[in-house]
Amino acid sequence: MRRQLVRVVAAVTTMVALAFLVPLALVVKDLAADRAITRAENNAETIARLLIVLGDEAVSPGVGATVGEQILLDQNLSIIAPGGNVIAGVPLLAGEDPELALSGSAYRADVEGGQAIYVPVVIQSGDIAVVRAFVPHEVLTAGVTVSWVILGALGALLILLAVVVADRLGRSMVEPVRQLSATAAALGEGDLAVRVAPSGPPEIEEVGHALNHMATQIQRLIEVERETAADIAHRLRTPLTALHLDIEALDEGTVKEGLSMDLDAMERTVDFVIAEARRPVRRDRGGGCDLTQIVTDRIEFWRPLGEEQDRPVETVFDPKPAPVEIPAEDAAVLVDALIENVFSHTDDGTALSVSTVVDRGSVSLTVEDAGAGWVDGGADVTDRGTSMGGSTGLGLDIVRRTVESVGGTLDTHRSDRLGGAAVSVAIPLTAGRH
Amino acid sequence: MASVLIIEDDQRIRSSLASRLAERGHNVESVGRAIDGVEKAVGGTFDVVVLDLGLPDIDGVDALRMIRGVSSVPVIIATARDDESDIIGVLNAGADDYVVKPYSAEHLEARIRAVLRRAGDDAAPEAITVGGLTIDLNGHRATLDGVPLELTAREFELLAFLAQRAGAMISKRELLAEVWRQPYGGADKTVDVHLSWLRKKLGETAAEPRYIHTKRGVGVRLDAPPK
Repeated sequence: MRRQLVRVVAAVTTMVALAFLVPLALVVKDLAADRAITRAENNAETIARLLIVLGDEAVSPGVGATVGEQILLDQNLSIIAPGGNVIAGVPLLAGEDPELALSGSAYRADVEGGQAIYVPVVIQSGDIAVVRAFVPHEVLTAGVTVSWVILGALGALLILLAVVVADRLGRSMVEPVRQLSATAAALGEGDLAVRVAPSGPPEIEEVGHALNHMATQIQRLIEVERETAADIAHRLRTPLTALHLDIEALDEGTVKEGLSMDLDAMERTVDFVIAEARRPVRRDRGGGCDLTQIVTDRIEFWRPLGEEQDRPVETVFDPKPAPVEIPAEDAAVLVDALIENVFSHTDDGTALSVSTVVDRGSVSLTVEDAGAGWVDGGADVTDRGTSMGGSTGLGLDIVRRTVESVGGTLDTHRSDRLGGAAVSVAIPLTAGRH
Repeated sequence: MASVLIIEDDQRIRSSLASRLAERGHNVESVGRAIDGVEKAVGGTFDVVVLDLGLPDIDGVDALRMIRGVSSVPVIIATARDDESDIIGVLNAGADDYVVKPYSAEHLEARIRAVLRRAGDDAAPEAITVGGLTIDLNGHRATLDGVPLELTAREFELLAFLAQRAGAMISKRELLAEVWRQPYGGADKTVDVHLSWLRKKLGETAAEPRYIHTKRGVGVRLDAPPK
């Protein structure tokens, strides 16, 4: 928009400048010629008056000395006797015929290299002599080139000024639109706290106010929805408590054990709903971490339990740093969920492998084991609440949500190396996203 | 055995909880309205009061302030809200402890015991010794055979809790409720991994335990090693 505005203004200004400057240039040229011719005419008339005063001497060969030969030469003047001969001053050009002037007509004629002005003079004898003034072409156009250059420069300056003003004007219009665009993009990424400072032309300012209002409404609606979800979840805790106490009253046995497990799963689901309702819509910018470092730390955290359970724990870490836009705390929860998954669903002694690869703007983290593998191939184990081996299935759902919130992906598959289940997450590196 | 007053508006919870605690040998009274509960708490001789926050007549926190105005009876808040700000609010208002719903009778009873221990035992030991293990509760330090142990806050809390109940088998469910204040789920390995770290720092293994003994499916026991 800004560039188009500049182009339009440049084109319009150029046309306007040409419309004024071209006639002006022609006028300048004519003025220069008129000025030179007028000066030559004046010079010729001065000599003519002198010849009248001189009487018969005016057509004698010594008239040059009387009038001043050098003056005649300097001013390109000639004195032509009634017979047509030049008796003083510059000679006539080849082919130049002063016959018409000798007959008493004063006139101006184009000759080779300029213009000639003929001024007839009736001398004392009654004959007609002629004073001729020659104006060379360079005198006719003297100062025209400089004037044209100045006019051109003024035109260019005018166009430049117009372009600069148009650019500033364009910026004042485009900048608010850009801010609107950036704000809308931030809203799209889930940053509901962002607002635009309305500015620019009234129409754009109005759009800014509307965008802010929309963001406030979205934020309010989400907050209401989340509060409702959290409130319902909180209310569920009271009947869950009653259920807890009722199950406790049952006799020990498989029924009680089964109900207790179901209740635990339900409690975890309620806790998850509450935690999700509290979770910020978008992670704060700048709250990232080095995933390589987090994975290294979390593996060390789980290693003692692995040793205790005789689990071979293999780690294959890419030494390169892996900056991701996930806060360190969330990244630790993510890694813990993947590792805990193996501990929870495989027998003691089952091998575990954690590997990372940093490549092409993303980091890939794979946690795999030598267990029995996924039930039903693991196709939908990350769907919310999908149960897997007696758990609620929420752990992998949290992992999926975390990686997808930063544009990453989660994939469950069979481990090629260990033969059991494998979970791979690919997360864009912070630098790779921009 | 303790004399317990339950102030809870949900009739099912009230009756079930009264039954479960009575089965465990406690003397239990229960009311459904805050005003009745405050009256009984102030005029009665209860060892502990379990107070629900969401009561129909008076807000639970206001009821707590009323009780605190005239009585020092220990009060455990039972609440569905687990926001940190809510919990800090009720503790500042004079509550001695809190449990987050859903809780079990076992969980609540553990809380009652802990509150009664704190309330009735002014001469509570500042340090607990189990074999060569010494735990300084006030200083948050622990030593093994005189050598300081480098424990995280959670590890110290876990060790201190086990030491306070030395010799008793404690379920992981209770550890989660007492140390982590979380309900226990089958897939949660939090307790296991922290116990592994404790064993490692105490210089022992699950296969060759000295202080920490785990019985699969039952629980954990801290005991002094045989001399």
